[in-house]
Amino acid sequence: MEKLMEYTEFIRNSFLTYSGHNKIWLLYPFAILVILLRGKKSDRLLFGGMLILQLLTFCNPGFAYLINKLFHYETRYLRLFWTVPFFLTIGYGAILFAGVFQQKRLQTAVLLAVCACICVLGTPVFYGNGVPEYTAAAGHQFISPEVIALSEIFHQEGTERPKVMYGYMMLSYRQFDPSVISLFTKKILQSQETQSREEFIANFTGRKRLRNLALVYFYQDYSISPKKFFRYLRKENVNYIVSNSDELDAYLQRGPVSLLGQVNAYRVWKIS
Amino acid sequence: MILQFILDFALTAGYLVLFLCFGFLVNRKVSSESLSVTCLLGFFLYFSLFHLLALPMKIWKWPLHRLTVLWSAVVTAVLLLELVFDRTRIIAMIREHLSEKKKWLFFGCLAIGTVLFALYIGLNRNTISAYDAAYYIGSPQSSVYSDTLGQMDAYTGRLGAAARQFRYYILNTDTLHSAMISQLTGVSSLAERKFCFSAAMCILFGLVLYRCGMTFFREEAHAGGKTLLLMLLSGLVLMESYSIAGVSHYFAYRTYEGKSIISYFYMSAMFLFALMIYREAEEKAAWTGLLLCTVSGVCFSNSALFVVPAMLGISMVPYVFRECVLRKKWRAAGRLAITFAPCLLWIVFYKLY
Repeated sequence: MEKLMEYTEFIRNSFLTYSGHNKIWLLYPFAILVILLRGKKSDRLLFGGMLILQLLTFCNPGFAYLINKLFHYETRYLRLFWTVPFFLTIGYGAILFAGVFQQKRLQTAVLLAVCACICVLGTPVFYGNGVPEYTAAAGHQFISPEVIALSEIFHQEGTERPKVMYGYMMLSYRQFDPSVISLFTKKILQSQETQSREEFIANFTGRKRLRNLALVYFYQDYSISPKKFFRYLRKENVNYIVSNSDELDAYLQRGPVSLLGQVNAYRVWKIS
Repeated sequence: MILQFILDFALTAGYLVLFLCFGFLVNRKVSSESLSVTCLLGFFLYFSLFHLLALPMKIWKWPLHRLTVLWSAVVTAVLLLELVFDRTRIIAMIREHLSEKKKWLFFGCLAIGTVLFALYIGLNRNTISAYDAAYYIGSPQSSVYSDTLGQMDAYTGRLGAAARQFRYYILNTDTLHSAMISQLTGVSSLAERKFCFSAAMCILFGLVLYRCGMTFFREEAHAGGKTLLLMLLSGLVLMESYSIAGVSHYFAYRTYEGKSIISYFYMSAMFLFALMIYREAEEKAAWTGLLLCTVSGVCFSNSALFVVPAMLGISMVPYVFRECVLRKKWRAAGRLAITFAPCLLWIVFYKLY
């Protein structure tokens, strides 16, 4: 019983995460109802059959339990909701609903009312609170201008395959310029996002000097002496450091560095 | 910059022409009368063949240039084959579609609308998912730079350090496709993914919606108008259903990513093929489409390992049940089993590798 409740809650949460509490989903059962009442025989079999199977399988706590036990889907479980063709169902249902009325004017009014409902209930992409904005690409570059400017700085001395100490920039930078090597890995970046300094130290499995460099860079642990810090950097063959914090800048300036260039909030320091 | 954009547009159009050519290849067997179905089948055949060629090369760690040469040879052979043997049939088919002025107008408006929408989506720079974008674009960029098939870590740029990443994404070859196109054309993977491929996918998605409408309203009065309405309404619902884990998010912001392609394109296309089977419209083409979906799905994302068979089962089991139990026709069960076989094969391969 406990497991049943747990997995019922799991399915509910999966659906809410998937739908993002978007009220547009209220139209889905109505559309299904219209299709079942007004659709052709084959439509009733297709839409009705799909709905029944969806309810029996991935909306079924027993199935969810089994699937998670066998394949450990967990957060990926909600991807099974991709199999619900909701936008086509709502669109088709709306047209069938408008077809109930004989007069063209009434049909138009119904369709306009449906469009209004969609707009009122829904949350549009590219617009609104908490929705990522549309950012038009400037010219032919499909990446932020900062990345392009940084690339020019990294290559201004002609260093072949420079090794760079940077944080989140690693995620966008290599989409533009694959010739640069990042000191930190994806694993380090993800670990520091969710872990406290102590947890990071306890869970770190790589080289100790890499851990210490990460402590300085991500956790502002300036108890590590600049002398040691730069020794580690030289052992790791790092050419440049990208900093966007004044404290880190002050720390770096206690060692053998020179400012190579600056892009907005980012400073590129060259290790001598 | 203008020259680069011209090259991007040419690549987008080139994709569609390629898919159409591959579609005509399938059409020799399934004889579909619809250009949109032909183009969609072409897409699935194109990526099925590419996947079957690229996967062993990826496992054997061949250099990228060898894949580029081999795949270019395959594409050239298909184009020549079409040009020599199918020329007349293709021209007749296209002529038939565009014979009436009314049809011209309809298709023209639809095409312009879809292309403008594709440009709108393709020119968006805000793709949100930093980690995923770093892989889906960083990986082909790294492959081109190192002339390897996914051997360079997309995040760090270290060669040979991507063993875990390589193993996890072993079945995904669409990043290699992007790398190969980039090596062949000189268009960077960044532009190829974010603009050319995104725009091409938008147009193909438009074709799926269009074909759904034409199948829903087949043999009805004003089928064209109703189809246009369905496209507008479905598009509106999709663009108004934003959620961080929803299909709209994947479609609008991350159009080029493998798992996005599975979520908005494969699921809709599989629904279309199921609809065609239920409506007994070009059944052979629809079954072929489903089979090609199960072969090529994993090339885009590991999610296809469970989402594609789930969609296949959920959409086709009611039909097979009706055919087998109520009508005593067992052919449908056999076809479903054949269609399901590649899914099983990929799951077993992934578990064993």
